[in-house]
Amino acid sequence: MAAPLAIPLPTHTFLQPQKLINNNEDLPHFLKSKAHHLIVSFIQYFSDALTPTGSDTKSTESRYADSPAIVVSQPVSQIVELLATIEAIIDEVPPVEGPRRFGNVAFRTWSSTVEKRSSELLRKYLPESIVNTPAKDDGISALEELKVYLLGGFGSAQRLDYGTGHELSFFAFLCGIWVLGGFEAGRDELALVFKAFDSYLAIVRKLVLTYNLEPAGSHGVWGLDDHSFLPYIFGSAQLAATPEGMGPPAPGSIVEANTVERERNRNMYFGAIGFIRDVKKGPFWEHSPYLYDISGAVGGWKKINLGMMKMYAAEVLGKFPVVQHFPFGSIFSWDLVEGAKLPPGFPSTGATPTATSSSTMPPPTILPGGSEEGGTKAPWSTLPSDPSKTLSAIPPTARMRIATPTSQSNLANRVPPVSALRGPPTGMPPPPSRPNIIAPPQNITLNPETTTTVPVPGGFAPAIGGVAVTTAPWAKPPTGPSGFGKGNGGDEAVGMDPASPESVTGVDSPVRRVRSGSVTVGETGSLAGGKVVEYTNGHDQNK
Amino acid sequence: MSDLDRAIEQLRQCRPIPELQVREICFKAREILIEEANVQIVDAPVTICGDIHGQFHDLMELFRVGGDCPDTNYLFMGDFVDRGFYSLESFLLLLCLKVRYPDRITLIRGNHESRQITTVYGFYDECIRKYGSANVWRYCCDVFDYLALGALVIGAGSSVQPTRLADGEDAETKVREAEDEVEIEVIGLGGVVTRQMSRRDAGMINSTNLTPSALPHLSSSGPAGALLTGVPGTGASGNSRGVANANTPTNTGGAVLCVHGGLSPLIDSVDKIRLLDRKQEVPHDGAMCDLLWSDPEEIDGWGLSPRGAGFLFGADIVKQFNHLNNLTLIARAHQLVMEGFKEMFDSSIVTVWSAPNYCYRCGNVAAILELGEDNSNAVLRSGGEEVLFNRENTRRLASTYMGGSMKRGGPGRRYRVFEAAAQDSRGMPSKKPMPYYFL
Repeated sequence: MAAPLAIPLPTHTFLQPQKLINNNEDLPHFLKSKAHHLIVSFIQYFSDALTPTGSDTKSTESRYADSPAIVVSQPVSQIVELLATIEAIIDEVPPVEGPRRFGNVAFRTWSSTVEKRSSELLRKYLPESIVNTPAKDDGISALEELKVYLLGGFGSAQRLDYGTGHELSFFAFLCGIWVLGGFEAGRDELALVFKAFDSYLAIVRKLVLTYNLEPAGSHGVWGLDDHSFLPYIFGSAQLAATPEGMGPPAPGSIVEANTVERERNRNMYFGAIGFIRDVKKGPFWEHSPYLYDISGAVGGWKKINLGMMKMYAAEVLGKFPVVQHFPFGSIFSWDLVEGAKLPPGFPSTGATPTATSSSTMPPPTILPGGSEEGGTKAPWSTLPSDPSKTLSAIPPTARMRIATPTSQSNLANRVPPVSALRGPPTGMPPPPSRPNIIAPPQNITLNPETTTTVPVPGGFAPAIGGVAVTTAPWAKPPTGPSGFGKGNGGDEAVGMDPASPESVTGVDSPVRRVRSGSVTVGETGSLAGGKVVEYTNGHDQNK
Repeated sequence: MSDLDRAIEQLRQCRPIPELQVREICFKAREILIEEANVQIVDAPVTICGDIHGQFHDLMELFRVGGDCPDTNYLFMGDFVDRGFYSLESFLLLLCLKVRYPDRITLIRGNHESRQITTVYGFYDECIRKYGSANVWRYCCDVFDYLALGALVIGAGSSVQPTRLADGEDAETKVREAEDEVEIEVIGLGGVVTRQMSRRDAGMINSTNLTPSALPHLSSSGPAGALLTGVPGTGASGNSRGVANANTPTNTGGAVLCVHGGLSPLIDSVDKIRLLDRKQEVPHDGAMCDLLWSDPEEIDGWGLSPRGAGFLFGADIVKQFNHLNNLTLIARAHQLVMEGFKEMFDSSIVTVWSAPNYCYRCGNVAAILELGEDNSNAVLRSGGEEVLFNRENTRRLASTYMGGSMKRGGPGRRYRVFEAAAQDSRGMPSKKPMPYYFL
């Protein structure tokens, strides 16, 4: 098992990560990019590392989070300390009291505090070799490139939400340190997951509870998890060597409270389930039917692990709303992998995928697996018995240049301020002009008047993690200085009001961009018996 | 017992009915709905409900608190489906009740009653999971296209009428003692009157004072819960008060517009809603879309909605609309409210939310809004004429009313607050249909 290749620090030019996925048409490029390849490789790599080498109890226990065999090296313990420092900032910034609508605005203070201190913290806690790498003439320092991914990992200050896109960013932060030689293969894998990543999950859960962060893109009971995904991959890997029906805990035991309590501190899957049980009331199978159904998987944890990775490829990496904020620099490069092809089923034209990708439906177009073609298929698509074969395919990522960014549509300019459109005082004020539906609002700059008056009117009280708002699937969530790329020229005008809705960045966010009135629902081969359902938006058709 | 009654019984037990029967009921429902106006006229007394979102057991709790259908006249403001586990059972039950008692229950469309939204937010998945095919989903979506876009409640009384208590004692006594007629009454958890506001009290009700923790926390199945089973705030005792209030200047509560989301910049009168061709999938923009997607907000005029559909609208918009249309109140749903309901803009608009502990985790209570009938009982004063208020001239009355210059006062409003149904008694499904990735 080989770790992904390292970047040679002395000769490498680091680049300011930029948002480059601006619409659905950019998604196919991303899926063929070196960044995608690297992310996928690392997930596979860690999943393999977490899988016990044998099916005996001893092997299994060696992959528990509380195993004494886990070595915490200096670089990893530094990361853990970094995270502890970040977590402590939560105590400095108590939630704002009083009626509020969605998440707690104090989260913004927390977020900016972390941002302010981040450079100093990184200098203190990252490996010296990285810290001391100076910026090249035409680039930035390694630290600055990594910082963007760290800051993108803690939810959106703008939208007051948190989802798998943020989780991905933090994962990229760890992987970035890895490819810069900050960690050691064969030594740090387990500790990185069980100490560093686990500390991260603890912060995230504390943030969610403290500031009522919304799930980014909640679909109620019909998603995998409101906030997280990677713990399910890692946790299932921990048990993947146990033959089906052998040894506790069985997948079905996720519904047993005492088993969950026993396992949650040593297995990440159960840790995630435990958190769900903490925050949700009601029968587990009812509020989390997807996880409940999975718990009956024939093939046990191995099957669940494989399924989770397929699902991650399709529902997180393959979904525009989730990955759109991921920034690309020199480590996670926008450059194409040579000879890369799209996963089967993905329209090569770059057209909007008609994926419906909801929980029980087949994930239609962005299927990672199945094809034997070469190219950039997700490494687990054919899952070679020797994963290192896959990993060795990663090209060196040194000296790459960023592709020309797609020009961002500046819709804000096309939307005149509402006040300018006000009609005579006697009649009904005219509406603000509508955002173009074909190119939905991006960087909406709300009428300043609106923006200033909206702040949490004593109106709607927050939910606990207020999963309140439905957003239009045809509307792009407004982008701005949020989550990803906070350090990325994030000084642009704040586009959204604080009462912004859930962004559609969840795992369980089968959001399709519908650009015409025609939508295809359902795909062949579904559980439904392979029915293909089509409907047309009559309204649009009539136009 | 007819097939329909049997279906209702089965659905009340939270058991889905066979696909063929769904088809039949959806077909009948369409025949009924197609006859309804875009803005359906509804006579008070009526109980107005907000989002349900597939929370079937909480819908049952709603009926327990508000009275059963058809004993209580209901108006549901949409969002029956998505997010919850029982969208199917919830919607089909409401639809069966609609077919069975078309004049006792009104269903209007929410933004989730749409093909596109249901494929994203869960109802589609649920149908696939429960039936193994998308047929039922399609039948339901075809019904969605026929749902009314709004409703106009007329003949509501200006004061809250006494609620009848289980032991026979009439709360009327209490009301009579009050100096003024009661405009707003809040019945908290356990059926206890937690708040009464007379018309003379200035200002609007501040539901933030009514936090769930401040409410008596009683089990709905406890003895106090039984208090709620009586016919709620209806005209049952209206006669007894008719004389006492006959001389008050405003003896009707005026018309109340019910719509799922809110107003549209393209709609300046209720009549304009009537002109829409509603029998279609909810468009991505335009008046019909706005009615289902917009939100009131503390702004002036209109603002872009962060939802990506509909608009935000401020107090000035609401007041102007109500004035121009002779409305005393707009009732809408669409946004979670921790306290179950929230009046805004000097009580010119109210949000009613009927899904307690939304998504199993929000910890909110739910509410329904009861509008009693006009306590002058069967007489509306309009333009100096006394008009007999009955079903036959409802339409004429409505138009008279709309154009009239009657002095308006808000309707008497009784909010019943309730919390999520007990959940421990629900059995576990035996099957675990395997999601695609895990096959």
